[in-house]
Amino acid sequence: MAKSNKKFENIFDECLENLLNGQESLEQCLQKYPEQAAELEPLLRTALSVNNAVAIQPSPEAKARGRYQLQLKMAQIGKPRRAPLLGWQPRWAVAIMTVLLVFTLSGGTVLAANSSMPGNPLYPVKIATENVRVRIARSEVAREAILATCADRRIAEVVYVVSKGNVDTEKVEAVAARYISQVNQMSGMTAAADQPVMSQGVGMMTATEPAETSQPVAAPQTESTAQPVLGASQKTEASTEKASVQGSSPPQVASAPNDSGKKSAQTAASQQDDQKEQLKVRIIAYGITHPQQLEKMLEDPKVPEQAKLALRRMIQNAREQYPQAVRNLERQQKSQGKNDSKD
Amino acid sequence: MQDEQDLVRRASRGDKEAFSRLYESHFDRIYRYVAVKIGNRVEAEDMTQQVFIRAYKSVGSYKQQGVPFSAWLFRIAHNRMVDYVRKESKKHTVPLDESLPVASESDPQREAELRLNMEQVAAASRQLTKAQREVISLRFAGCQSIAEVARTMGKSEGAIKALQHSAILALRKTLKAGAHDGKI
Repeated sequence: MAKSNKKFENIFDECLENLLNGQESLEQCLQKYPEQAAELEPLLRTALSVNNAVAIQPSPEAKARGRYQLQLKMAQIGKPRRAPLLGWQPRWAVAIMTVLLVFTLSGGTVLAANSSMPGNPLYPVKIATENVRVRIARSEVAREAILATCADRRIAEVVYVVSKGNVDTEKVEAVAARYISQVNQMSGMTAAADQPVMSQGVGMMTATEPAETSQPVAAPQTESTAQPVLGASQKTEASTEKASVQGSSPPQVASAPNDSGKKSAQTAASQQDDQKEQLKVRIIAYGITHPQQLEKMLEDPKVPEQAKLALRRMIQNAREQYPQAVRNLERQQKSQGKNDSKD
Repeated sequence: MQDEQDLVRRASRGDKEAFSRLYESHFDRIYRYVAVKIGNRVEAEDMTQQVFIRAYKSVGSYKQQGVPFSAWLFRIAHNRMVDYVRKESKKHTVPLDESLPVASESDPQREAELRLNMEQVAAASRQLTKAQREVISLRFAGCQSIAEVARTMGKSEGAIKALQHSAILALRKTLKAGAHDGKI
C-alpha cells in the first residue's frame, strides 16, 4: 500500500510538473497513466486551481519602489557582513561559543584562577598557568620576575590557609614545597629542568620584566585581607606579560652595526638595567617581608607543629636564597656594565 | 545557474549591481510567497523589501549555507513570516486579503474566477498542517520545484511529494465539502 502510494505521488508530481511547465495538457497526462487517471484528474484540477489562485504579480510600481529602497539601504549598509568563522550555527550555539570564546580570550578562567586559594577548584589552573608563564618567559630576567611573583603568591596562600582557623597541615606543606622550589629557581640554586627559557642570548637584550615594582606586603590576617597581596602580584604579572610581548619584537642588536642600531642596542640594554634594578628592589623587599610574615604565623598557637616545620623551612629558604638572588643580579649588572664600557 | 553563482559571489563582496540583479530575478517569487502567506499586498511589498535587505546584509555568509540561493531567500522570507504572524496573532487573526490582485487584470471574467479560487484556497488552507501549507506556498506561490522545496524545508524529495499529495487531497476534500455546504 505504501509502495503504491509512493508510486502515485511520483506520477502525480510528474504530471503536475509537466502541466505547470506547459509541457503537457491534462488530457495528455491522463492518457499516459490510464490506470491512475480517475484518481489523478480531480487532484490535478485542484492543484491547477491552487496554482492559478496564487499566481499574483507585484505591480511594477511596487517593484520599482522596492528597488529604490534597496539601493538606499545598500548604500547605508556598505559591504555585507563577512561569513562567520565557523559557518552557520544555531543561534544558541553561536551564543554559547561567543561566551566561551570571549571568556577564553580574555583569560577569564585564568583571571578567576589567579585569585583562587589552595583547596579551591581553580587552584590547579592557577598553578598550571604559573608554570606555563615561567616556561614561556622570553628572558632570564622575565623568568626570575615571574618566579618572584609566584613566591609572593605562596606567602599569601599560606597566610590564607593559616587564617582559616582549622589549619590544614598538608596544604601548608604543599604550599611551602612550591615556595621553596620557586625561590630556589629564582636564585639559581636549582635549574628548572622542566622549565627551559625560550630565548636567551640576543633575546636577553630585549628582555623585559615588570615595569611596576610591587611593594612589600603587610601580613594579611584574614581571607579578605589576602586579596590586596594577590592584586599586587597580578598587576606585576600582567606587566611581565606585556613586557614579554614587547620582548618578542625583532632583536634590534642583531641589526647591522650602524648608528641607529647602536642606539637601539643601548636603549635595550638601558631598559634591561632598569628592569634588573626593579627586580632587585623587589627581591630585597621579599627577603625581609616574607620571613617576617612567616614568623608571625609561628607565634600562632593554633598552627600545628607539623605545619610550623614547613613554615620554618620557608623562612630558612627565604633568608638564604633571596640574598643569593640579589647577588646574582648585581653580578649580572656589573658584567653588563663592563661590556658597555668596552663598547 | 553559473551566472547566479557568480552574481552571489560578487554580491557577497559588496557588489551592489550584482545584488540588484539577484533582486530582479527573485523579487516576484518572493513577493508571491509572502503575499499569499500574509494576504496583504501592501505589507507584502514592505516585507519583500525587508527580505532582500536582510539578504544583502547576510549574503557574505551565504556560501556556508549549502542550499541554493533561492532556497536561502525563501528561508529568510519564511523566518520573517514567522515573526510577522507571531506579532499579528497577538493583535488579531490574519485573514487573507480579499483585495489581492490576480494575474490577468485585463480579463474581468478570469479575474473573478481566480479571486474566487483564491478565497477558496485560502479558506481551505487553514485546514492543512503547517508543513502542508508550507509546501503549497513554496511549490505554487514560490514556483519551486520539488527538489527546491525539499532543500528549503530540509526534507527529502519523497517527503515533499507525500506532503504535496496529502495537501492537495485535503484541499480538494475541504473545497468539495464547502461547495456542498454552499459556503463556496
